[in-house]
Amino acid sequence: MARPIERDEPARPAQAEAPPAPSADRAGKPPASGRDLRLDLFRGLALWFIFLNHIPNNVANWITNRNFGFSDATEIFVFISGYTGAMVYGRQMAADGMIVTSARILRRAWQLYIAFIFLFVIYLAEISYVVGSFSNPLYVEEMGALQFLSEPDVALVQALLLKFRPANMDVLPLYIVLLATFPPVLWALRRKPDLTLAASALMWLVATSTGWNLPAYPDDRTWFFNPFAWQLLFVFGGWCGLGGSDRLSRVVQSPAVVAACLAYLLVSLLVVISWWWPPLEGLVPPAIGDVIYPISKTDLSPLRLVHFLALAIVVVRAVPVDLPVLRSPLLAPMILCGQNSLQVFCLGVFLSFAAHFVLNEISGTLFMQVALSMVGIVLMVGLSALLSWYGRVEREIAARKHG
Amino acid sequence: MKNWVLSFVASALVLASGFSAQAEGTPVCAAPSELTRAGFTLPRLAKSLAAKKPTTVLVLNSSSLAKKSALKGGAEKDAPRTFPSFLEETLRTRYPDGGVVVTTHNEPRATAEAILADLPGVLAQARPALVIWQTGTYDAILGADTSAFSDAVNTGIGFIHDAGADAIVVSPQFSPRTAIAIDVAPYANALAWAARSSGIPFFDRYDIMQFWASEGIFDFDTARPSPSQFEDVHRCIGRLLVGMIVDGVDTRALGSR
Repeated sequence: MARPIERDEPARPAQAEAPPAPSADRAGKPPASGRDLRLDLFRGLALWFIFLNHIPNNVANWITNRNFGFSDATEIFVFISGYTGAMVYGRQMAADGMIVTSARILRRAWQLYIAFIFLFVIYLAEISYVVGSFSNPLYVEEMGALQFLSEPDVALVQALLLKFRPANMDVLPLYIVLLATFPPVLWALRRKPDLTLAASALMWLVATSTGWNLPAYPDDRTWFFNPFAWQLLFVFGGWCGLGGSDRLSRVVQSPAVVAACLAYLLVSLLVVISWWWPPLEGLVPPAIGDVIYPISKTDLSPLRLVHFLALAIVVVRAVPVDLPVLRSPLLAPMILCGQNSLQVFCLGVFLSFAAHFVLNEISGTLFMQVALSMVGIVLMVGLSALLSWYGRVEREIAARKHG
Repeated sequence: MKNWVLSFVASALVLASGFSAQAEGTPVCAAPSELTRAGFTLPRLAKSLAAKKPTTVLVLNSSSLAKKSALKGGAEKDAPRTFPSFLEETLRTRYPDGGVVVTTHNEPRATAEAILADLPGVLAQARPALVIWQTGTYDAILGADTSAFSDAVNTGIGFIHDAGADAIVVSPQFSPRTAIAIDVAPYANALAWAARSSGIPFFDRYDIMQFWASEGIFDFDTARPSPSQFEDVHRCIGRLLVGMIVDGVDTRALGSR
């Protein structure tokens, strides 16, 4: 399992020679041999949750963290992607230089773009099918909204420009933009980490207070995940991945901070439960509700951001990096998924389309919802196992050739 | 959202409107009580009904179906009956004195924000005692910012109260086929909160229809819906709305039930 590289990256012989990860960890030193498996574990979990949440009307998405706190799987995914990205590419930047590493990052962004277009085609196929085969006077307005295919010249070009992003695929354009702009950010993070983080926080502040966002299609829409706001989590992840988490360890270890985090998580839990559990309905007083609602996902509301940070601190404390259970076979499937995040994410989006199709077309019973959710996760694990096996074989062959 | 999950557990089914006169063969318009009770009073409407004065109920809608049938040149027979029509019928049965009139103001493809511009004028003309405002569908289609949506709804409720009317807000409908492309849940949530913070009843059409789908009362995702489904659904919505109105009129003070 010990592998100092991000498995997401295409296997490169140069990486095999890279030194092991510096102890970029938030709660004590990782074992000398390996990377922080918690990153993979929780990214894998986030990918499962994103898949479950993306199937509409699915009872299985009740287990996901969005029902128990302000933040959801997206925060975990973006933060860990920033963390591992900075760790892996930061090391490469030190070893191979700025230009080559930037090229690798951009190649990665290009792969994501291709994945986005691929998924968009599948999405179009499903929507075209629905529009063509389904006619119910009850849903004239909704169906009318899906008539964008009547002007393919516009819809397709807008999709290529990342302006037309169907629901469920919103994370991908965000990730593409974050990666495409990552080279200078990473450069700055390595030179002046605190200043870069401060600049990132300032940009988030400006974006949340002014609503500054990228334009989208159709009409006067904007991006669902405002990149000017969400970049903060990515940059903060990178800041932690480049050693910032070591400097935070005193904060993380402080009992007062952990107590405050737990208190915030508890309040958040109660508030979110009050949204769907009638007995708690009147929990939030209108005076407070008027201030905090609606909690913006688009602009990464401070409530969400703080919730994610509190969750991260509590998890880092509760799950130390050398916890034996991290190496148990029970958690291996989740870790595998986290190690192949791009492919697993894309497969998850595809599977959520497919599950939606089956639930509407064949049967939408509770049993089917649970069964499709489980089959989807098994397929995601299967794909990541296959990819990990393939990567290992390729590296062994490359090592033999070079050795 | 998703109160229906709990409804399975509670299985607290009530005949919400309290009207037992169901036509033969039409589905039973049942829904869990937490989805159909008013929760808040409707004092202005109650006053108007108690005085047995002519009472206007205004439905604000963004249905594009009504526009379509209007374009046909008033081909009334072709146009299926929508919930405001059933609402009027049932309200007149319940409150026969004085005369209840339901008028509809329909702005197809309008966001909550877009409705605001015309709202004061519409209110001044109709002079309603109650406004039933269904909104959020087009906001969800456009992916409008939920904060802006919330603000618009709160402003609209303010206009309605300023005009001396009570308000009920109605969430977008449940549409399983298009859910992959149009996510109305955040807008329904925003509406629920706007209603609660303004102290007005919230008719969660989304949750109620989801409940019907999960109970097998209606099949919304079939490719071939029964020809009567449209009117059956709208009849049920109209009746449940009357149930909520009666509840809000009869409830004297908050927390008395």
